[in-house]
Amino acid sequence: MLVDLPTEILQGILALLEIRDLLVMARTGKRFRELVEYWVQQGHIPLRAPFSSEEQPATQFQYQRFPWILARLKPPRLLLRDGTFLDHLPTSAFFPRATLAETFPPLRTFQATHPKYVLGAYRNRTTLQRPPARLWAYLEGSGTQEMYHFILEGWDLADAPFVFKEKHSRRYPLETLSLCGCNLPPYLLLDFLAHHGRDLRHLYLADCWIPPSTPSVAAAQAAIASILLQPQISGTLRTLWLDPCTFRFPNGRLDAIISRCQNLHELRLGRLNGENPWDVIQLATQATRDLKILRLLTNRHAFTIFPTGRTPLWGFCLMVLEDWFRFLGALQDHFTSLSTLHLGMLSLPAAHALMRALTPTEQFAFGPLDHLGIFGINQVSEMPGVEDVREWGRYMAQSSVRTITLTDLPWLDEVLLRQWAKDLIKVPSTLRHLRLFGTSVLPEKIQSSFWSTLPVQVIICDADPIKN
Amino acid sequence: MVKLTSSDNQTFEVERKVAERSILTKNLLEDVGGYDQAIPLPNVTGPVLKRVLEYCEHHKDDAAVDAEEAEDDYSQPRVNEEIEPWDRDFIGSKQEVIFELILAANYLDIRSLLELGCKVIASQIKGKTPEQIRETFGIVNDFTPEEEERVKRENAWGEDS
Repeated sequence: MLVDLPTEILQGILALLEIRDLLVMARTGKRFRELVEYWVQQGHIPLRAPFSSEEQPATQFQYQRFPWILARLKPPRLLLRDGTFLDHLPTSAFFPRATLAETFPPLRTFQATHPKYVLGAYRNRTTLQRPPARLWAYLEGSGTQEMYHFILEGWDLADAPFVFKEKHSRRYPLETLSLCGCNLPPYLLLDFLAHHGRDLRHLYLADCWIPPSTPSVAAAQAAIASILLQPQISGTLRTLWLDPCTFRFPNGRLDAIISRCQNLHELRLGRLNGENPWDVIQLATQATRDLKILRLLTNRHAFTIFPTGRTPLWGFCLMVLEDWFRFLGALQDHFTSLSTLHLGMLSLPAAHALMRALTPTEQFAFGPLDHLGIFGINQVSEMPGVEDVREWGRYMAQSSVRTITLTDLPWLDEVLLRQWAKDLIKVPSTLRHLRLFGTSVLPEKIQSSFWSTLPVQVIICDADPIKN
Repeated sequence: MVKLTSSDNQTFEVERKVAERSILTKNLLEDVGGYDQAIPLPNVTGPVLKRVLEYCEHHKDDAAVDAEEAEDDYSQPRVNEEIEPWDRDFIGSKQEVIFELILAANYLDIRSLLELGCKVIASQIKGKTPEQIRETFGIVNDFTPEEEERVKRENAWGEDS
């Protein structure tokens, strides 16, 4: 019987199959489900050893007979989505170090994202877990000297060993560093940037926390700011994600960092929380020459349906309308290059001004924007005037945007949505997706033939828009 | 000449280079510098050993494969190589025979025969539905209906492509 063959032989057979057939095999029974599990998960072919922890005593010798297994284990990236799997990483205990370096080519991408981490929605730092110790051993012992992309997200790094220090590790030609969602000691980041940041192009530091026990936080942050201010870093960065309220740089330093990032293509400032972000935004929009993606999000950007006890003052809600128009004016220089604009928690007048700016005739009209997202529309005082909001369908129809995402719209009912839809039919529009989160409309209400014939796909959803 | 004895005490006498297609016997012969007695192969029955030796006889003049070469050959997977007509006729399509040859090749460390067996089994899997594979290989569906539905849903991304 096929199932009676030894595991290493079955893996040898599975290794000959294409992905489609591997997935079909996984559906035949639990035995094959387990075997395939190591090969394919969630649409990726990660580096997954073709053995379980129980089978680890199986010797390297066995796998030498199946060179195609090892050949398949040579992806250009190491992608670990399951933290427990880190315990199964082949380390020197399993493969001699020299063999490991030969077997696995220089690692170019290392990604270990905690399975529960979702960008912008993982805010309970008390539940963060430490990465398994083997992760550090692996980074120390494997062929990582060619690493270009390092992604370690959603972990508690408070007690992380300083494996990135020069005396312990090689200098990576790092282009991407993401430590989003991590409990991040400033000195760890400092070491990382100081030793491996020379060629950095993409720096992702969203949802970060600084451990309260960190000594001299201010001094460390000043040091980080100094490094980011170095022209060889700030001048070459293409992508910058920061949490201004986590990285409270000394006065003027955040402004200075952003103003020096003249080559930014993408800027995301997360958790803009009660502080007027106007100066920073103005600097960013003025300093950058070719900004394509701008995300300015608040602490509440992961939307909440019908939130209770919502504090009305976040991010852009602090802006008086005059400032808002100054902001739109500053953005105008980028209207022709921006492909994505995400904003968190607008006041209704600001949201209305932004929607109006979608029309070609409006003073602040956008260019070929691909995705406009307004994550949270704050009802500071009253329900929006129906006449004003009714116009939004017309604005959207006349825009050149392909996708619009709006969240927190409890006042949007089926009648109003149908009004928008009628406007979208009247004018040939580039809009293809209208994604609405937190409305009063039940998804089943838009399943009639009327909605299916719309040129725009209207999506009513209660899921987190950030991760969709 | 080298003598090989199966688990059921059948003895076969073959040329040394035929026996050396097996890394197991090759290493044994090199270690002892020659072997007057029959080499016992307790994990292989006589009928299976006979067929294995038939394979080795046919391939006795192929490029030699030594253990070190096998270890170093990670960069040259052979998955896309076509199966030679003789090999295809030799191994046939009867599953029990193929499984026996695979197990014997695994034990005797005859890599080319092991690969041949695996390729044939893999070719019998390719393109089939889960039900067809279960039927072909006698696999018992031990999923609950809920588990089966979940696995199907999770794997849909690949099967649709």
